This record gives sequence, C-alpha cells and structure tokens, in this order.
Amino acid sequence: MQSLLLEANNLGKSYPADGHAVNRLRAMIKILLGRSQSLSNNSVAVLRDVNLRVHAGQSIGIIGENGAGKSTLLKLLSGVIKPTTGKLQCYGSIAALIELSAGFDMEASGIENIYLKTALMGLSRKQTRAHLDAIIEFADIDDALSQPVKTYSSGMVVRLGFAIVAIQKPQLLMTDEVLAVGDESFQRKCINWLDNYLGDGGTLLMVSHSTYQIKRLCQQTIWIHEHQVAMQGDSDKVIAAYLDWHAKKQSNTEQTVIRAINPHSYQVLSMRLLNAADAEVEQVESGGCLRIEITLSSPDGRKPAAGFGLIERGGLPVYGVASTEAPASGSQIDAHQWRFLVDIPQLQLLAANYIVRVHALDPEGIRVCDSMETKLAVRGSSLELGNCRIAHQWR
Amino acid sequence: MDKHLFQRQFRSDLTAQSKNTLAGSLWLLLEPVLVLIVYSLVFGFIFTARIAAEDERSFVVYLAVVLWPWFAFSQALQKSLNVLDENMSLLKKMVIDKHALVAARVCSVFALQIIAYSLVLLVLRLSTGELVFSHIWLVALSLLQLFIAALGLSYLLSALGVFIRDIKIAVPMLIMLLFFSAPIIWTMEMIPTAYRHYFYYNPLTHVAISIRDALLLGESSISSGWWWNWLLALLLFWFGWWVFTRLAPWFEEYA
Repeated sequence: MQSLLLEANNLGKSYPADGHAVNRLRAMIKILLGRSQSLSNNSVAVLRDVNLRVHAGQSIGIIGENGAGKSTLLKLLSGVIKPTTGKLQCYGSIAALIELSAGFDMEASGIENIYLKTALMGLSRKQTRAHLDAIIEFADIDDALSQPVKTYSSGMVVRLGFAIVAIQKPQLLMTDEVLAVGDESFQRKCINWLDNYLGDGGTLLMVSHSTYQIKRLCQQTIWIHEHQVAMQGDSDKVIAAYLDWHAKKQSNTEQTVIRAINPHSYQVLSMRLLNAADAEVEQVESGGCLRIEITLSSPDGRKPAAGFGLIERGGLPVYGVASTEAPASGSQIDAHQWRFLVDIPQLQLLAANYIVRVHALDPEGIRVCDSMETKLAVRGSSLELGNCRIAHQWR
Repeated sequence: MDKHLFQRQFRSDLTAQSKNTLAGSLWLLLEPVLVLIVYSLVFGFIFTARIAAEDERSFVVYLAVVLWPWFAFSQALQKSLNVLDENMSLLKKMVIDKHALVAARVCSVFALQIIAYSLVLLVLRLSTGELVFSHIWLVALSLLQLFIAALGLSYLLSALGVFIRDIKIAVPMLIMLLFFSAPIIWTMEMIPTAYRHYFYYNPLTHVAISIRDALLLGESSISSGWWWNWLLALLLFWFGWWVFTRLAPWFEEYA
C-alpha cells in the first residue's frame, strides 16, 4: 500500500444556527477558552461523520446533489475551514482548486496576478519566475496577459488559475468543479494534464457533476447525500447507484407539459416512452430499444404531422425529425385523434440524461402547433465521449 | 508567518492609495506637505496659536512633530479593522496565513507615515531651523513602542471585530478619545496644573511628551510612564497575538 497522505476520522462540520450578536459573543468566548468542541450544539450540520483515507496515487471522485456537502468536504480536507467534529491529519503537500479566481486582483494584469497568486501559495518571486514561462504556455492566453484580469472572460480566468496550480505539481490535488468552465480544448488539456499527473503518481480528489469525468479519472468515488457519505467504493458501482437514485427521483416528477394556447389547433394529447415489452419507462440502456408513442388531436380531422426530438439535458439538440419523412405513418383513432409510433431499435445515445420532446405540426409539416416533453435517462458504462454513438470500425 | 504572503500584501497595501491616480507615488511626498500647509494656515493665521507669549515658535512645529506618529498609530488601527473583511472571499477559498494580512497592513501604514514624518521633519528643519536632531534615537524608540502597541491592538481588534460587530463602530470613537486626551493638538502647558495629572493616564501622553522634548528641546525626558508604556505595548502585542491565533481558524464561519 502506498503511503498515507490524508486521514479523516468522523469529520463533521456544522454552522451556527443563527448569527445573533449574543450567540456570536458566546461562541467567541468558548473558542477563546478552548472549548470549541461544544460549539456543535445548537448548530446546523452540513456534513457528518466522514471517514476517509487517501493514499498516494489514488484518485477519488466526489459526487452528489447540489447542497449535499461536497464542496464543504473539500474545504474541510484542504484546511480552508476547520472541522467542528472529528479529526483530520495530512501528511503531504496539498493544493486545492476550490475556486480558480480566488486570490486574483481584478485590477492587476495577468502577469502580476501570477506573482500574486503564487505568493499566496507560498512561492517566492524568484521561484515563480522560474515557472513563469511554463505557466504562460499552459494558460495559452498570451495576448491578454498584460491586460487587467477584470477584462478576462471566466474561461480565461480559469485557464490562468489552473495553469498556476498545474505547474506546482502538489502531492495531493483537490479540484471543485473547475473543469466545467473552460472551453472544450482547455478542458481536454486539463484532463490530459490530470492523466499525466495521475500517471506520475499524483493523487486527486475531485468534485464534479460530470459522472463521465469522474469515471474517466477516478478509480474510487464517494457519493455524498444529505450531508453524509451515502456510498463509497469503486467508481462504476457508486456512479451507477447514484444515477439510479436520480432516475427514481425523476420518475416522481410529472411530465412537463408545454401547452399551446389555441385549442383549435393541432395538439399533443399525450406521449409515452416504451421499451421492447411495451412497458412505460423513464430509463433505457444505451443501445437498447425505445418506442415513442405520440397521440395528437386534430380539430379539423385532417392528419397532422408529428415530430420528435432528443435533447441533451444541458440543452444541446441531438437529433430531431418529423413524420413527413414517412407519409404513411400515423393511424387514426377517432375523428379527431391520431396516433404515431416511433421505433428506435438500437438507441445510439450515450449514457446521460436527455429530454424527449414531441411536436404536433400542421398537416404540411411546416408549423409547430404544440409540444410536450419528458425526461429520459440513458444508462450504460462506456468510455465513449459525446452524446451519440457513431458507427465506426477500428483497423 | 508566511513571508511571501506578507510581502505581497505589504506591497499592495503600500500602493493601494495612490494606485491609478495622476500623481501616483508622488502622493507619498505631496500628501504630508499639503497637510502641513493646511495646519500652518489654520493654526498660524486663523488661530495664531502660541505656546506662550515669549515663545516665538509657531504652534505648527509643536503639532507636526507628534501628528505623524499619531497618524501612523491611529491609521494602523483603523485600516487593520477591515483587513479581514476585505480578504474574506480569499479566506473562504484558500488556506492562507491570516496573521500576515494584519501585519502587512500595520507595517505598510507605519512605513508610509514614517516616510512622510521624515519629510515633514526635514521641511520644518530647513524652513524654521528649530528642530534638534540630537535625540532622534528617542523618537525612533517611541515610534517602535507605538508600532508594537498598534500591531498588538490590530491583531486583537480585527479578530474581535469578526465576532463582535460593535467593535468596528466603537474603535473610531476610542481613537478620537485617545487623540483629544493626549497632548497632540494641545500642550501640557495649556492645561491648568490641577488637572494635568488626569492626562497622564493616556499612554499616548508620554509618547507625545518624549517626542516633543527630544525634537524641540533636545532633551531626553524619559518618564516612568514611558517605561510602563513598553510593558503595555509588549503585553498588548502578546495578548493580541494570542487572541488572534485562537480565533483565526473560525473567522470564515462567523464573518
């Protein structure tokens, strides 16, 4: 077993329930008298009972809902905040990327800020000068370096911030959602850097909402749920459990309906997502079978056109088409209702959360009269990147 | 203490005021000279203040020799009160040495005021020929005393200020009280003898007297109060440091 870098026992953090002046005074006196352990009475716990051992060379992902306590855990482990309960011991150099813009002086130029930030991290100007070229090269924002940081886009700030830390190569690196901000090419650069860093024996603790990134970079994952560790272990297992939990949570929320105002127009009456056995589903395996059932109303009895689209949860359209491409499709249920079925025998979507949106169009297939959407979770474990599987062959 | 952080903060605190101004670092020289001119006008022409009828010296000289040490002391306290708030976003995101923030703030204020003070003394010496520099070492020692006390008080008050907001309102008043109850804009000679002893309870009184006597008379009037001040300054420094160190890990939570 590699050497132990960090050990947390029953780590917990609670914040004072109310900030009334008298309570603050009381708390201050307790701290001054060295009785800080009794502060946890009358306070709100944001994290409870975390036990964790991080060995050199490990990479651990931290997942969980917003507000579950992920960032608090990272702040505790990096020493930015003090645990209310439990014990934390560190045995190596730690760098934490809680927020990459922390420590920047917005009025100062990029170059000055490199010196400012490295000074915060404990480097002298001389040491920084030795790293300067490497930092500038990694950040890759040459033109802007003489400009004040306030003129930077958020992506540029992240580039500079990451570059400064990347050059230091700490023994244990903690990152909080930092890869989400940079553009695609910089994200890729960071991931490459993290790959090399891990390959060289670096240790990583990473908070991310991207289960893909976690799967890609971390062998182990901790799932924080409602201020406690819900599960801890191999990334594949933990992430699967986490996604299942999300799918269940979503199934409790109703279909989101976007209704057109005009009742005299073509409307979507209902939509259902079905599996091969015609059972209603909210989740399918990547590569599995999906059937979309769309029921439309037609006030004038003419056959409307139907459309369906797949949208990645982030809003990225993946695919969409209307029934006008197959004029024979659709069957009449009664004078004013039509049903359309779309069979997708092998759903080539990669594991992620999607939205399926269906439309009622006029018979000419030109005007969208009504829409309805529902959530679809696609499951699977693969290291493919993107949303859609493209047929391909390696030679 | 984190040396690099201290240097970084010290540098940025030094330039904070004159940053992006037209005169830039010229303000370092301009400001004390302008302040001196204003005081000369007010006390020299409007009040035509004299210490005694037979004393030809303008009151401005009496005032100037203690005014800049006072500026250093009072501004150090006032400006360090907010240093934690100003850097709170940083404290919440990075592990940094909080002691260095306060120390840098106090040191930068003293550095600036001592530069200004030297300039003022030089200008007064050249223009009036009245100052005696033979006991300048006593001035330096008194300034050191003020510095240690200011550092201790800054640690103490900035840390307490995070928990007790009232501190931030009360401190400026306390500073004002110290100012008016020490012989800075007045001299002991102006006070009826029967009441003089009250003013010796203000530690700054001893500092002001010893600096004035050193620079105006060339005498070293080291009273017992001056020695007690050393004890007080060192105690304040120790206590301030202790309180700050105890409270520092909790700042982020209560800010």
